[in-house]
Amino acid sequence: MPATEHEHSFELFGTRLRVLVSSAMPLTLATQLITRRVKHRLQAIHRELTRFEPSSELNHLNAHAGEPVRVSETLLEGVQGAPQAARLSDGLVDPTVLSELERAGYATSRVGISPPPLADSLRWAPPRSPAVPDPAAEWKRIHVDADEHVVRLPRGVRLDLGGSAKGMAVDLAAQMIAANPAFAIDAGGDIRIGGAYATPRTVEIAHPLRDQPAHNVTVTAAAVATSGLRTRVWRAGDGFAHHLIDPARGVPAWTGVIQATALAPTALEAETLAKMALLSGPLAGRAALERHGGALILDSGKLILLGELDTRPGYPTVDRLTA
Amino acid sequence: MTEQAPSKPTAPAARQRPSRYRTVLSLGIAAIVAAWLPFSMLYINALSKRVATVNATSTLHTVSATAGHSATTLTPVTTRTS
Repeated sequence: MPATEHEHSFELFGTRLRVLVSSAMPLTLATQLITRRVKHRLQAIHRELTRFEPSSELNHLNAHAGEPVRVSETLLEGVQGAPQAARLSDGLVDPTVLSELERAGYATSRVGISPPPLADSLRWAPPRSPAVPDPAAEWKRIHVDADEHVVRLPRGVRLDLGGSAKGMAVDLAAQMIAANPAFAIDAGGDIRIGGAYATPRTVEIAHPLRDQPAHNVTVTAAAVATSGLRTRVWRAGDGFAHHLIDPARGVPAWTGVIQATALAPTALEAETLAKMALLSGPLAGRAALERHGGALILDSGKLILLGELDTRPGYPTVDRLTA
Repeated sequence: MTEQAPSKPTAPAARQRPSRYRTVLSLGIAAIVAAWLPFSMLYINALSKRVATVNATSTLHTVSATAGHSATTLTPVTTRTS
């Protein structure tokens, strides 16, 4: 009896989120219930952690920087994940650059807004240089009391949990459906693959300058995340801007890498490594992806495979990744 | 004379008992099989799928990566900038 894969998709985190669950039975009530539960949980995470909804809990926390604020379990996890990402990336993936991001032109959601051609922005872009961590490292001064569910942001600091919140949500959803024979959570760039039985699944890495995939990889149990400029680039004044901020300079980073894909045991880690690799530029970015594997695409469109993806010829297979 | 009379009703009762026993037993076995069947299918399916996909992936190892090929019967996913 062939396995049936049930797909449930909905709009969330500014993308079309897909939950794929495979079972040996036709569509069962249990499968429907679990996908519904995942959807409701992810919607709740989005509601609380988005900066685009004035009533979100994150905005309440940001409005009270400098004061201790009691937070929900979801926001607590989100806030804990952000410094974790900053630490993993040596401060490059900095959750405290929200003011700089807004100054660059990303103050409101860009869902539904078509970006200008990436090639145009690359022709305009300033000389390429790797991003640098902010020496002030305000993220180190975020105080979290996990027992009391209390967070205190440094005065004048606001958080943007965008990427890390999505990674965290994908990991949480994966935990909820991990007992199924095979599953995939696909949140646009962030994907988590696994299941009770190790079943390989093809992951296509989209190319930001071409219509066909840049590469395919077969994954059994791991997370894959992609960070890039293609969809979050916009015209700003006489030039262009995008959403990946150089923490030290406070402006969009043009590093020579336009897309980075990372594999890791969790979506939060993969998301962080992908962003770190892009911000690091073509040379240091390779080191970020070496351990678990990944791919860089440079301004020229050239693809560079790294780690596990580079060592296996042709069509690489990545088995269960562990931390 | 009258000593045989009580034995008559006991005969159908004796026949009924094994019958009810068999019914209960059958229902019990059916319940166990019904509960076990989905799990056995999952297991058999996973095993057969694993063998099939390992072969497919091995074959693809000899081919250079090309766009649009699926290594397994599971729905492919695409990672992209979002």
